[in-house]
Amino acid sequence: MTDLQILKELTDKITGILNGKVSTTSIHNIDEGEISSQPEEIKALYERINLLCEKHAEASQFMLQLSKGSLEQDPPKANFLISPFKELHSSLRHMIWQTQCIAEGDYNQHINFMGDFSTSFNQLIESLRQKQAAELALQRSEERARLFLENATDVIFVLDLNLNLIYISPACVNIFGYTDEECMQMPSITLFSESVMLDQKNKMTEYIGQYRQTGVNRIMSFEGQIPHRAGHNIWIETTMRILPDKNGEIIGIQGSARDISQRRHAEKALLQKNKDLEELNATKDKFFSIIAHDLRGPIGSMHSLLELISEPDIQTDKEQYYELLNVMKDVSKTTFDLLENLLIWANSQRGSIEFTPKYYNLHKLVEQNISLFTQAARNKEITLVNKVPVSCVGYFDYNMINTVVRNLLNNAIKYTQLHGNVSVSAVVSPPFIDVSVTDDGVGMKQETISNLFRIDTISKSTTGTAGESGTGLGLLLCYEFIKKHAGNIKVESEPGFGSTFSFSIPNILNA
Amino acid sequence: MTKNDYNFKWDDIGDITLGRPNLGNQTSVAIYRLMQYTMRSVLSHELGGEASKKIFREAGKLAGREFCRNLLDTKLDFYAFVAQLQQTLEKLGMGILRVEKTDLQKLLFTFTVYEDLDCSGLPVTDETVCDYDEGFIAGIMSEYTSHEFNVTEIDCWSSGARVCRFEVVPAPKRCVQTKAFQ
Repeated sequence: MTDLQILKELTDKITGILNGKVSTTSIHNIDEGEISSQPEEIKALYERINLLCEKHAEASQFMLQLSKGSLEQDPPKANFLISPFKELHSSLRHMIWQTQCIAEGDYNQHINFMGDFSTSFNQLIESLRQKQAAELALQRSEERARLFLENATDVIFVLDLNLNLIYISPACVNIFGYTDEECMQMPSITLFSESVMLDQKNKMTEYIGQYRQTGVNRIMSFEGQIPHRAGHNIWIETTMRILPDKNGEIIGIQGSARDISQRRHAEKALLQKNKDLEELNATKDKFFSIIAHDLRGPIGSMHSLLELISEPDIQTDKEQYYELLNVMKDVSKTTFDLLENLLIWANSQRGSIEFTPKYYNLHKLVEQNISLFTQAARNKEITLVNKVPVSCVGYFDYNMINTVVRNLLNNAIKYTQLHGNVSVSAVVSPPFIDVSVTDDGVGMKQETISNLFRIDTISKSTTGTAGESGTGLGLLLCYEFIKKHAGNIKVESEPGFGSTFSFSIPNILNA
Repeated sequence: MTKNDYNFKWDDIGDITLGRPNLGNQTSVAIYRLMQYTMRSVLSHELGGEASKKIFREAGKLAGREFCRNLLDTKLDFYAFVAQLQQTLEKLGMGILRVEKTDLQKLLFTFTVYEDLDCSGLPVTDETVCDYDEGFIAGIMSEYTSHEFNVTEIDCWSSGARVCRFEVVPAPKRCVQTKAFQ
């Protein structure tokens, strides 16, 4: 090739580049053909022009993609033609990455590229950051409220003015047994029980009227029983008040309810305990009363009688002497009976009397007791009759029922006049036997009847028709022992027409 | 520090406030580069070009680990950690770090550094020179993620780009051969 041809070829190549023509092919391979024989300076010029074409082609391709907004292509290395655009490409890639971070919720990005655009963009990020902070604060507040409502032992609710549920907190499941969603499906009148809600509706209407007139928002508290989902009833304490909006307009009724069943049971147990203590105190008083008065009296009488018998004048007067001995015998019998009852009663109170029921013949038991009172009845010419069927068998504790029959017979004879009648009868009405001790004696007033069998009201009993004394302790024992048999004891009486004491005892095992 | 087994500790930097009450904590970039490139020159002559580049890379890795351990909070999530790194590098005048790509699943990253302390404004020599930066970025990422990384500078001011671009990829796991002896 001539020098002119070489110059023309290179000029055409450079002109092509200046005209925007992209050429990726070399003009010549400098190591082959005609160029290889050219001087080194010419070969170097071809080499640089070839490299320029190559870099220009790379740059053109890169710039074309960049102009289309495509940043995926990595920029060509060691290409000085596009150095500023590589910086631009890098900055744009970083901005895309930052935008992706922002899209994922990272608002810590700060753009310092493209002047006014970056200022606006950073303001946008700041707004998003503030919004995120506000949302986070709201979320935390809601979370706290949710945790409070879920973990509160009290249930919080809101009713409209027709007492329909608008809201109920999840704690309702702990009180009612229903979830909040289930509660919202139920009429409040069912949930809180009809009686409770109807009772409070009128009161709430009154409170609403007062609020509208005076602005005073009164708190309404009440306790009531409501049905639990499991079927049992629970006690709740409810507090309600009007829920006004910020302008004072009533938007509903807010309330809270808590389960107070445990407290109620404790109160009931406390009342029972108080009752037990009162009885215990009355028992103690009665015990001391008997010791101090009822026992002291007869013992004192016996002491006086003994002193009288010791007098020489009395010992010579046989008739008076035996009369005094008979009086002493009566007093000692009464005192013995009292002591016997006192001992049994004391044991009963201590719980040291064993209850051992078995099958016994009731007729025989009554017969034995009647024989004990034969003399006492003869003294007052009273007819004693055992009307219990001979074959009557019951399932009872012998000692206890023996004490009951003895005390009731003793009382019947005591309050029956001369020539009177006392009888014991029994009617079997399975699984019990109803036993009655009937007399045609003086009878009792209603006031006296109502005080029988009670430890706190018994007082010195009415004196018998022959001056016999008593304490009322015997009837108390009867009551205690019949209770042990799961039976009843009752009295029918009318002044002047006698009395009938009836009690029931089992006639079979497991009555 | 003249011992053969010297190991760098952060405290070896010393108390600059105490030691430089008048001149303070700042110096010129030119003086920093004077030290680095004279050292590179000597090392290159003494040990060869590749060996000197390796030494700078390893020194950078040690510096990156210590830098991360002492000046950065590694408990932050990735985006917050990058934000913190950007602020710290800028505040210390080391460069403006930007992120081009991240793949947190594969632990692949492309970082760029503008106004790099080591190279921005250097004469164009058609080769990358930020060996120390390669190690520095690898050290920071290793300390933060507990994974080893290889960092390669694919564009450098010296190679004609106006920005230094680094590709960060996980280092292949070392395969430890074991043999049982009976």
